[in-house]
Order: sequence, then C-alpha cells, then structure tokens
Amino acid sequence: MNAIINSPLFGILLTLVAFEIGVLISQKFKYSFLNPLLIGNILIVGFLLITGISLESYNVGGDYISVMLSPATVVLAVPLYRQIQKLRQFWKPILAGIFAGSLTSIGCVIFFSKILGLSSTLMLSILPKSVTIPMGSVISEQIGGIPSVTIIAITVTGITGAVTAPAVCKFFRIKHKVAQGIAIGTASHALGTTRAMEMGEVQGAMSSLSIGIAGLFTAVVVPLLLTALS
Amino acid sequence: MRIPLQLAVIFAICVAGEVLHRIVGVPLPGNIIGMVILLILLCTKVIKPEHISGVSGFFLKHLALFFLPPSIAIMAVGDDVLSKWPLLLFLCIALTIITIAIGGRVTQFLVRKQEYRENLALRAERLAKRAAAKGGSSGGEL
Repeated sequence: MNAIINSPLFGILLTLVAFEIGVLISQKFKYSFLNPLLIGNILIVGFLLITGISLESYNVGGDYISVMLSPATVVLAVPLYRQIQKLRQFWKPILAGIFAGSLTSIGCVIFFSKILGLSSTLMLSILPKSVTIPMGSVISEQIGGIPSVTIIAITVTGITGAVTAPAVCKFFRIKHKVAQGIAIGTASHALGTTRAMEMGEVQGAMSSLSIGIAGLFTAVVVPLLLTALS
Repeated sequence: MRIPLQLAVIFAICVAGEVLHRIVGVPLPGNIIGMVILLILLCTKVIKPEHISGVSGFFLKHLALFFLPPSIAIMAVGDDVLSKWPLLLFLCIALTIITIAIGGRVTQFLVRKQEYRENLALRAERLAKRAAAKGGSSGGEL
C-alpha cells in the first residue's frame, strides 16, 4: 500500500478527483463562495488527515501538477494581449486607477498588519492577496511569505470581490462602466472578473485587463517597497 | 501548430524566464518574466494567439486546478498562523472592499475628467465650424 501512496499517481489522482468534485458542487449550487479550489482544498486536507497520509506522500504527485503553474502564468499574456487594445481611449485613467487600487491593497495590508500586530511572515503572505494566484504565490515565495497561506488569502479575496462587487460599486457610487471593471479586476483578479462579466461586456473586458497589469505592478513594486521600508 | 510544438514554445518561454531570473538576475519571478516575454512576442506579431490557442486555452480554462496542490501545504502551517485565521479572513474581506472603492473612485474621477475635456474640445470645434459656415453664407448675401 505504501508503494502506491508514495507513487506520483496517487497525488495526481487525488487532486483531479477532488477538483472535479469541487467543480461539480460549485456548478450545482452556483453560490460564489462555493469555489472549486476551496472545496478541493478542504476535501484533500480532510482526506489526508483522516487517512493519516503525509503531506510529503501527497506532494510526490501534487508537485507534478504544481510545476504547471509556470506555463499557466505565461499564457496569461494571451487574454492580456486581447484586452490591451481596449486600453487605447482611456489608457491614462486606467493605468492610474490600477496603480491606485494595487497601492491601496498593498498599503492597507502593511498598515493594518502593523496595527493588529501580525507577524511579518503573515503580512508578507497576504501582501499579494489582490493578485491572480499564479503571480501572487510566486511573489509571496520571493518576499518570504508562505505560498499556501497566500493562495487561500487570494481565493478569499476573489470570492469577496465576486460576491460584493455590485453592492460596493453602488454604495461608493462607482457608476462608470470602465471604473467598475478596473476596480473589480484590480481588487479581486479572475474570480471577481467572472462577476464583472455578468455586470456587462465593458466591465468584464476592463476587469480582465486589470488582472495582468495589477499583477505586474505588484511584482515590481512590492520588493522595491519592502527594501525601502526596511 | 501541433500541441507538442505549442507546449515546447510555452515551456521554452518558461525556461527563458527562469534563466533571466536566476542567471541574469532580473528581480521578478521567472514565470512573470515569461508572461512579459510572451506578451512582447504577441505584440510584435512573432507569435499569433491562434498558434498557441490549444495549450493556452487548456491552461486558462482549468487554471484553478494548478493551484490546488500548492494550497494543500496549508496543512503544515504552524499554530501561530492557524490561530490568526479569523483576523486574516477579516482583513482579506475588508481590504477587498476598500480596494474596490478606492480603485473605482480614482478611475471614475480620471475617466470623467478626460470625457469632460474631450466634450469641451468637441463642442468648441463644432461652434467654430458653425461660425465659419454662418460667416460664409452671410458673406454671400451681401
């Protein structure tokens, strides 16, 4: 039995099955907080805890799938390229808005972490929380955060954006379609973008444009900001 | 392009990103450099989106699957992290709302400012045209 558990096939199969169950549940109930990634995570962690199989055994196979994070990030250039033509008319306000949103997210994490007395490892782990996961998890690793905590924080952030975006836009009187899309994509990456697409075509396009630009901006600014602060 | 060739292109870009990060010392993660490389190749039309659509479509469609294994390491975090989870949850939710609010207000302010300026310019142009047309016709009556 140990030979099977320690073979890569085990971790790969467990990941695929847990993910597909997550997708099935989220499609069946259609609540934004039932996210396939979160459900899959709970299923796998639960399974490993109940059976007593170690994280190392799981990772023998899990690592094969994790390697694919790198090509998955690279192909994010394709939707960014498709949307980048839509920058043309309002490129200055859009870039300024994305930078303002990203800086707000980064600045608030640093500020509230200091006030609430979070350890610096935790602060670094949630610093890239508004960035899309493939970019955020490597930024976290690079600056000394815990990538698994970052992934959960990013997912929670994305779900929050997807659930609250229309209400938040209404409350703060963000009515312009371009501004709505930019705000949602900058704050809550691809998960928020699914909601922005439901709000309208312009919002969806602007939101998906923001994902790549906010990620790039964060990847450049965060290390610079941290060296300046330390 | 055939799928193996598409994969080869994408992985070559990944490797190039890692080389630039680890050997040349570009201070960005290798996969993010890779994304910038592909974006440049697309913008300069060296690669067309159709050339790699099989592989890019697959990865983009099932993106979340590839984050699942790294997220399982949450099992191994210490109690110091686990004990803070309500605070972390609160921070993530509250800061998302603040980020949407500020990002949206800033963008809206600047977009409207630009629209206002363009409208003014457009109106001034129209007035000038009308004045010119009027001047022309009255000149003919005389």
